[in-house]
Amino acid sequence: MFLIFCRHAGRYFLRHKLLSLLNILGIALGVAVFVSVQVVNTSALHSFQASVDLVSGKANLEVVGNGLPFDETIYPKIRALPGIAAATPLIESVATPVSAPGEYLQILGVDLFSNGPFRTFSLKENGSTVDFLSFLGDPSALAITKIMAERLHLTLGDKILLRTDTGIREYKIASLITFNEDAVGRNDHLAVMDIASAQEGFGMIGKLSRISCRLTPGQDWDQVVQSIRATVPPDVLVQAPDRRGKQVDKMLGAFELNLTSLSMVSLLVGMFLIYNTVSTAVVRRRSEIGILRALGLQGYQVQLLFIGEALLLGLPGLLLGILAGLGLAELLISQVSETITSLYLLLSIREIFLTPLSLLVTMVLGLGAVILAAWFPAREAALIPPVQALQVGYLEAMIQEKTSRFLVLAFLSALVAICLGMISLKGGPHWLSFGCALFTLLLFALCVPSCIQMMTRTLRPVNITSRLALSNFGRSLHRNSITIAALVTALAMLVGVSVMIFSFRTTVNQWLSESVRADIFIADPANFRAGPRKLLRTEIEEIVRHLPGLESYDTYRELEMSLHGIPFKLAAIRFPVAARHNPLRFNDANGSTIFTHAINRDEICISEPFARKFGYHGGEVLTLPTPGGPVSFKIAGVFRDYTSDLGLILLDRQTYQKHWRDNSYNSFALYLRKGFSSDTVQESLRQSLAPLGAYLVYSNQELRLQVFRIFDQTFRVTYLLQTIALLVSGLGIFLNLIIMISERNREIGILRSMGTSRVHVIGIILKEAALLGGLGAILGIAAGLALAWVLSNVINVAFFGWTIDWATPWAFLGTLPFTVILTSLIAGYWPARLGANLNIARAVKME
Amino acid sequence: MIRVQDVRKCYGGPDCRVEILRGVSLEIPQGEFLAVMGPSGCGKSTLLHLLGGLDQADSGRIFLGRNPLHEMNDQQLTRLRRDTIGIIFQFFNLLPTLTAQENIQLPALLQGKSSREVSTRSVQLLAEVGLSECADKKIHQLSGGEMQRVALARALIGNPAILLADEPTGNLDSESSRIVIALLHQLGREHGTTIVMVTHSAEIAAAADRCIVMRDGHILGPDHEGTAFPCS
Repeated sequence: MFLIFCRHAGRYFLRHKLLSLLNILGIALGVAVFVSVQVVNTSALHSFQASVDLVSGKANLEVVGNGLPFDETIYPKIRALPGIAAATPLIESVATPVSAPGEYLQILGVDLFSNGPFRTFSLKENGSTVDFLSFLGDPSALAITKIMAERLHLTLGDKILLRTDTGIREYKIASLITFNEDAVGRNDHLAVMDIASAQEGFGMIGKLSRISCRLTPGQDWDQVVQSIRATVPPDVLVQAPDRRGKQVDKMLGAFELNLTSLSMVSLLVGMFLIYNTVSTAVVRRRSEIGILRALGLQGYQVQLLFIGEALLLGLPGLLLGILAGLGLAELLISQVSETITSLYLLLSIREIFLTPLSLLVTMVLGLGAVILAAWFPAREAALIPPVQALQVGYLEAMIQEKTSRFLVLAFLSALVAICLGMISLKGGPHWLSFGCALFTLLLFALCVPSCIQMMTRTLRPVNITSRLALSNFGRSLHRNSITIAALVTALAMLVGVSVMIFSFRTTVNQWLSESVRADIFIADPANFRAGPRKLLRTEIEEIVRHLPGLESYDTYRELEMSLHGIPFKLAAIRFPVAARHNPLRFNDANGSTIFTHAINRDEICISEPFARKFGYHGGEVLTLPTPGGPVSFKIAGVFRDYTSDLGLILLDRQTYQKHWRDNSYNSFALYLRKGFSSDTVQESLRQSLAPLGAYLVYSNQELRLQVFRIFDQTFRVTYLLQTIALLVSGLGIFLNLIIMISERNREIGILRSMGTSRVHVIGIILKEAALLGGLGAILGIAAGLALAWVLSNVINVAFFGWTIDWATPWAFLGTLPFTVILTSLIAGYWPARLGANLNIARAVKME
Repeated sequence: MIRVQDVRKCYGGPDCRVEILRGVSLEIPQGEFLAVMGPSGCGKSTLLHLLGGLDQADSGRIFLGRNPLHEMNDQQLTRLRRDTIGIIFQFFNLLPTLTAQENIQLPALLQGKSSREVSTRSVQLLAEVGLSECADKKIHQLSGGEMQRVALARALIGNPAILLADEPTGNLDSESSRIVIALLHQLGREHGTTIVMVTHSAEIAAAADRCIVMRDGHILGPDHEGTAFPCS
């Protein structure tokens, strides 16, 4: 029985090669997108974890500052604690090569004597391990990876100028880093120097970034942690190294979830393809079903037959999709890596990482999707009574009757969407907001059959070919409904995301105009690549103060901190300047008033994402860890901020210095007096700063360009995913029309026998294609606008907390229907020609 | 007058594996009702398709009046089918999306005639074939005999000079067959239409003015030029 089935199915697919190929391709595309996003997400986390492991090495406990480095005198105290088998101090920072400002080095300052038990790399010189004493003896000694050396065209012994926190310093490439075989990861950007050199070069004399510890075997972990916590200041964290990985997982969670959801749209559209193929097969092979049932095949066996056929198509599609997905992941990796670096943390994803588990999950999901897509039409096939299966028109009539049921389901989908949206906004699980989006899409997909019927009843065809096209369009209700639903889904994603991005862009543009008003900015060049991590030299403030044409200036200092294990950012600015020049946009109060009131008070302002993530509101009290111990701050207000979805706290510079005792800056913002040219002042500034190093001096306009560069880059992956979803649905239209031609060979033969010209036949089929595309476009735009609303006001609020003001891209929406119809016509042209050129005599003989 | 001169047709690609017509010649005067008989596979349907311009002969000549089918391109043949020829098939070949009346109207609408004129004529024809009450019925609601009568009305709406019927009673019971053939005969006479009917039934063929018998791609009979003998 199984062999007969395989032979039968195999012959059927071989007879309909194009159909089979299109289905396999559709599944492959959908799976490829899903796989690529999963692989990229996993690779990102793996790369980060690998870099954590590289730094922490074989440590099983670490001591790290919460935002700022800590006093090095803690180190000997920790080493002396019972239970600590080994401990080593570390300095971490970032430096950029002067000759290659686009590159960066992750500096690791290590104590080579105590670092031995932790190290997962070795320092080599001409293949031999470096003598540590000679390495220590040279304060300019630096070790970099072979790959970085090649990238910078450097060899052993070469000098390199690095921009550090204390200015430009010269180092010597004393050795190359070789990763041990047991190292979990590789980091091409790793650069190692002696800890003392790092402290001096990066302005951290007397400070440490981290202490890695190994416990004595058999020691109680919690007990040791307790004893360390009793030793260190309150703003120093004691944690397991893998906790950082978990924090990053949370940090990137929303970003990755959004990408995953987008990728699932392509998979969904691929499922529509399978559903369409199987349900069309059921209709076309109704007499075969009748014969099989008459011969004694059970209903469930008929169902298994069709599901098995779907799997025969699905399996090669799945395998092809996985391979294609890995290839696509290679393309996406650099985009995602850049986006994560710009928005969240320094990350270089060197290679894709695929676990056997994620491969298995993908296969199960993919096969599950195919079975689910084939289940319902196969079940319909199983339920057809044998006699009626042999009747022409029975199935079509049966499908027509179900239209009202779909409308009821559409109504229920709307209710479910509303409920899920409300639950996610009122503190429920954030992921429910995706459920809201899914049911919104479903609502429109379920309306398609009724819309087709309404269209066929309402439209008044002007000539006979239009009449035939319209009646054919309405007759093939089932198949056309699925094709249009797939198109609506893909278009909804395109429109929804495009409108959301357009609205977001408009909002950010408005926000920049209102909230970023300085004329000139000064920062380290590395900040454009790696975020505001580099510090400026304190002498810069003196230069700025005496700048001709200056009205006032603001400073910016940012820390990356965590609260209850959740990362956020804390930034200090000068509230008196901000109140006057840059009051920001607060949700329910005037920014100027808030800033002025908060001066010399322990008051802070929180961003909308912070408020959402941590559940705080204006007027409440928030306790933050500081070097001097926990301090309670009153929340003066909630402001709009789009710099990060992590959440931002703003406080006055004086308040920051009081509690954090830190005088450093990441950047300056300058406000010029009227009449002074920004270009002239910039040039004068560059000349004045030149002796201190090549700092970045840029205008407000250049900042805007940079902001939108990052903005557009963030969504580049989204655009790619959208394009693939559209491709899959375009494939669906093509497939639909190919099926239609093969189904209607006889009808086309009849028309041709009556004197319908080839041109007319092409016209009829193209008009059907236009109807498909037209209805798809109208519903797709409607669904897209609804989806855009959900994305902006439900998903965005649930995950990020941003306010996005609605803006409609009219030009895009206005041209979209024409583009879709044109695409449908192009997709329909070849099937139309096929139909027009068939042999009439053979066609009319067909039963 | 229909003239067929030494027409050959084969299938199976350039190798010509199956030769269906092997030099058929025939003349059919205007207004004649000709029956073409023969066993399955003898080439009678193929001959009909060639006469209707549905297919093209490999060699030989076919004239419908002054129209040389062998020299016409697809556009010309299409126009000819639209304006000059009506065809009835064994399996009715009606469009399931249209009602009975709409199926009848189709060829006239393709000719570009006005809806009003076409509607009036279709109502007339429905009455002539005895199906006035079935005008708005869908095809799957009709019996075989009713479907074939609708097909006949459709074939006549364009006032064709030639009517080709390929086994018009092949799928009908005897009573329906009798009705259809009687209608064919009567309406053909009334409109002066030349009728060429393919059938394997001698009883049905007896309704024709003349019949020819084909076998293995040839026309049989004392005169191979086509002056055939009555079948009865």
